[in-house]
Amino acid sequence: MMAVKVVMPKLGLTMKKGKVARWLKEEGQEVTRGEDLLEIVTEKIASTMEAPASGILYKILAPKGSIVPVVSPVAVIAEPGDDEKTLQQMVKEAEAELANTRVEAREAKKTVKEPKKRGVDLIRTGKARRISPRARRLAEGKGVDLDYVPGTGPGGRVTEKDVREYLEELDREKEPEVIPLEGMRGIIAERMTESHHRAARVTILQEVDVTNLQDLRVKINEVFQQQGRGKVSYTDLIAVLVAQALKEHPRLNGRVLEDRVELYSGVNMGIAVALDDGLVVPVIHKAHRLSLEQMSERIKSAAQRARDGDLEPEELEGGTFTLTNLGMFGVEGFTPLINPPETAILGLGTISEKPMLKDGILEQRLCMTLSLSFDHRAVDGAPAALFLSRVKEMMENPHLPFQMDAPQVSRPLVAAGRRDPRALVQAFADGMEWLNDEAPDLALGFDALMAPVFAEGELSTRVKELIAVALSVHIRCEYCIPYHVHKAVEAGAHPDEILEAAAVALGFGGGSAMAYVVTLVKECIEAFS
Amino acid sequence: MPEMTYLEAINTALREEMSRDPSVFVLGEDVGVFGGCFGVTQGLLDAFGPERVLDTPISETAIIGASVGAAAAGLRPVAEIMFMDFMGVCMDEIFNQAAKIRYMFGGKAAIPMTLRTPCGAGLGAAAQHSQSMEAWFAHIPGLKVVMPSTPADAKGLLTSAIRDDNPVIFIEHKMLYGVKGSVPDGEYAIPLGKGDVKREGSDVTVVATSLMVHKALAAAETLAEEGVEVEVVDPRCLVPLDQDTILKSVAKTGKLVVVHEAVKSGGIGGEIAAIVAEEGFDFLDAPIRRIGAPFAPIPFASNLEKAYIPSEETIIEAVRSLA
Amino acid sequence: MALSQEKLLELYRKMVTIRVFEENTAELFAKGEIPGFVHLYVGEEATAVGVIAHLKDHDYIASTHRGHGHLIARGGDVKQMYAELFGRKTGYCKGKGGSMHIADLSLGFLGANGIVGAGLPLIAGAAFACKYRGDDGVAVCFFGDGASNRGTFHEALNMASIWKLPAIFVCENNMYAISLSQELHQNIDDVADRAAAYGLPGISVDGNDLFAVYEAAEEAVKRARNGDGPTLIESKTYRWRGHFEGDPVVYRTEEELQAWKKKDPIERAKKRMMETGVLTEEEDKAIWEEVRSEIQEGIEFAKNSPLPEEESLLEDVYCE
Ligand SMILES: Cc1ncc(C[n+]2csc(CCOP(=O)(O)OP(=O)(O)O)c2C)c(N)n1
Ligand SMILES: [Mg+2]
Repeated sequence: MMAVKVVMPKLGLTMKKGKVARWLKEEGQEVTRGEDLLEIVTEKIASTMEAPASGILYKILAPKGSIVPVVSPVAVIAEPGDDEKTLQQMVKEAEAELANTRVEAREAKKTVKEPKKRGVDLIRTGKARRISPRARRLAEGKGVDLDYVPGTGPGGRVTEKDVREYLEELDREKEPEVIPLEGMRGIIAERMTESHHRAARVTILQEVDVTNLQDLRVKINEVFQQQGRGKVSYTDLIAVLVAQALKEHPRLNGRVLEDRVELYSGVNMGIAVALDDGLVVPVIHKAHRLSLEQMSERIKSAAQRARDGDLEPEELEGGTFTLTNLGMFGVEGFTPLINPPETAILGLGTISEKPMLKDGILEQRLCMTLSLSFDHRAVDGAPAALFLSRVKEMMENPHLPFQMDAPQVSRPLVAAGRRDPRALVQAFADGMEWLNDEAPDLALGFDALMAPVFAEGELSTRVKELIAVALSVHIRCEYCIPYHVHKAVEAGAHPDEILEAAAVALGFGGGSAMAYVVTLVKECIEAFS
Repeated sequence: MPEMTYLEAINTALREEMSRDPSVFVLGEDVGVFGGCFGVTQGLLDAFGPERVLDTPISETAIIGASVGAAAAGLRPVAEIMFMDFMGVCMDEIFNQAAKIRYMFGGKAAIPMTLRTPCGAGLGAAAQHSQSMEAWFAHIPGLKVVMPSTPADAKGLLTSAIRDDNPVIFIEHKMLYGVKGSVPDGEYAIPLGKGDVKREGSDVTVVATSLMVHKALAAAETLAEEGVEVEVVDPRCLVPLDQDTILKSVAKTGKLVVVHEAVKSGGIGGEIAAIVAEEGFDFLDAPIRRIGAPFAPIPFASNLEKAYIPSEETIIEAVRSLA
Repeated sequence: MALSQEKLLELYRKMVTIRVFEENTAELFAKGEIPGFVHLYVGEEATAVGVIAHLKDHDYIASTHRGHGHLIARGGDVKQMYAELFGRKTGYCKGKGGSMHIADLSLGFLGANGIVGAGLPLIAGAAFACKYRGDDGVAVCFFGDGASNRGTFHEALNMASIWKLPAIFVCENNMYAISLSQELHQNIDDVADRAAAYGLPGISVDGNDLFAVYEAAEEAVKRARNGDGPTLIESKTYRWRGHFEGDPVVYRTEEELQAWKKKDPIERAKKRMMETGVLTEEEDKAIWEEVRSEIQEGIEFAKNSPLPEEESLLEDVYCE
């Protein structure tokens, strides 16, 4: 048998690292495959990870609170028959791997941040660090919070030198960093001012259900991957759809000049690319003619060359519409400035999970907010809204333009079956099951409370359920009524008995009780007897 | 100042003190005609005669026991134990007699004796002729422990040791006997308990004893080329220990490496590190590093012996890891 | 004394082996090929050979800093001895001990010792073990005249005597403890006299006469095996070389040395054996030749042996 490395799972597309919130097992404890092993939190979600194998939790590499890059080892599970030597070897390797990935992550971060000078971080560097006594003394004397001081001494220790440099940095911060509005910044400043002053900008927001789009993307990427083709992003997909929508709504695909508006039949789509210090908008010419894969390749190449500063001047010209995406930063809706002299710009927001009522069923859906800014000089609110709703429509039914099968997705949270007694009972059962997963303690506690209440006793279960029917009517609980009618029937109650029991509620609830008795109770008796 | 070897400096101190004070006499195995196993007592027999330069039988117990008795009776014996490794033989006389008599007698007696003995590996003399056991003695209240590293210190400290009214263990290093240096002429006494900064530096403090002082100095030269300035502190006496000089240096540099030839665990380096951790914790800008021999007896084979003795390179590595 | 011709030749050959081994060692030391301290046994060969001739496989020996002769007399392997002197991995102690600590436990040889006088109490302990087991084993300790001034000598003799231990204490009185002649370090002529103080027999013999030593040891070993307790044998002899290699030897005269050389134990044994027809001049030559080539082989073996690996530094500090 070979010991098994437990790795930080990649729980989402964007997940780079996760934090170990809690170990549910201790070192040396037995674990069974599939059993909950640890709790993980990411920026987005909290989740429980199951043991990938059965055996003994031999070594926890990432203790509670550690932040670990995805697919880096967090623990080692020993399987029966493993000898101590190989286990230790494995732990050593895993530790090295973990240390490496952490360094890599730090390294990677460093290179990204390099151009910015080392600054006073607002994010605390964390507590589990070594601080030399000398550094501590100096810090205390100067009132420095050591949590903000990066350590460069032996083993990452914060030394006196680090504190001194930090203090110098603090001093330096009194002076603002000067960024002249020249070069790229100058151009951006000029154009954005122009846009702001001249365009009569209006921004409208629209929430879009992108669940289908996501499923489609996963499916396409699966196929592409099998065929050795590149991955497509949301931006790629949306760019294709928007190009189509622009063909249908040319009012949005134009340029506002001194004395006229020029509308184009061809779409030259600008894609805003953020640089370390600035922004460029390379233009994908004839975007409406591109297949998804072509679009994807063009966008990728343009973005890469934009970052490398390799764009040709003509690639920055001739745009008729711009797409800008702030979703990766978690932004929902915003008010993008139009890239002059274009007529409109579409901003993409972040994708987040939301509960949504769909055909009366509460579902968990993925949503994105679209922010469309347009120049009111050239186009009015209604046509702009029409365009936006067309984009929404295409995004919510993306299989049509891409000629794929309609995705069959339904993620009911609670099925609110209208008055269908069976659906109501089912809804409650589903809800309890969900609770069981989410808050097992609560679900268990509820069951434990209920079991003795309805157990055979001096009063039979049948009588107890009849009482419950009356109470359900009295408190007007849409779920309790079918549930207890069902239970009463199961316990052998006669329909007449149930009706009589329900009628007891009339003595307390009068008319409103009667409304339930003659409707829901009646339907339930019919449904279950 | 005349140049002389460490061995000559010790010999000079013995001669001068014997000339100055008739109560001083020398005893030990082969210290007379033979002039001492390493030649330290060369010429003393001719100069002072057999009454004051006593060749003893191979009876370490009696050599030290008799020194204690003679000292209690008013003389100032300077005993030689041929190799430090033989001190196990006379250990009772050292730690139950010499060290405690004054205290047990309520301060009524004094034991003004000096015990000279060479320590150290490097001659291929193997496990029973190469050890550095200074920590044993530094652990015994009532003894003073001196470990000179240079000819001048050897003379100055031996002079003070002989004049001191307490039992002093004076530990010489075999590999230093041939080392030359200038030594002050005439009367020269260095107070016991006064450390010496052998080289000034601002970046890392290296506290080294005996032969290791020289290795630390050589390491410091190499490190200086890398821009790391090492301060080399030689405590010279382990008891009493000059804590001030060490703490002052660490206050300046914030970093400490302690080096001795003795086995690292339980060595005097641990004591020095502990003092700095206790008294100078806030000065520290990095963990303290200790360098000493591995936890094994001293091997015979030359390549193993070389690997065993703490080297200049080890010191350089340790300093680099902190600088 | 009934010595077979074969046994006589064997003892003679051992003395020659010791002589040739030591002379070569002196040369190698002078050439700087052997580090550390080396104390040679030249001139004292009869003592080791005469005493050890009586020992059985399960008997014990404690040796001294001047121990090469004892191990060769016991049948030690000169290859491993040289390898140890050279500090090689193939040496008796894997290169960790050197001349002063050669040991061969398979021969009951509890090692040379760097501490003068340390062997005496050890051998009391080994003798106790023999007696305890009741296997008729005996334990022999060699030590010098100088060592007889150490407390361990007195303590061990007393203890062995009161416990009637099967021990034989062999004092190799070579008249000097380093630079101190016997008259300067003790006030008696015969170390054997000290036996009386502890109530055991003490006998003084001519240590350069193989047969005298042999006879004295025979009696002592018999006593020990019979459960009659320990014996102190003083073997009066002389070391030809300095105390250690490199000793300037300022403490004795050339005449004294030459006088002792005339009493060469090997020459004396040879003469006696030739007189009794046990040995011929040709046979003698052949023995020396054979021994010389055996010793050369040992030296070659040592020189061609690997150095110990640095990792071995921390091995054998404790039993695993
Ligand atoms: C306890 C102890 N003291 C001193 C020494 C130093 N030393 C080594 S050999 C020797 C002389 C030994 O004389 P002896 O016992 O007569 O043996 P020999 O060398 O004459 O064979 C001395 C003093 C030692 N090794 N051990
Ligand atoms: Mg002797």
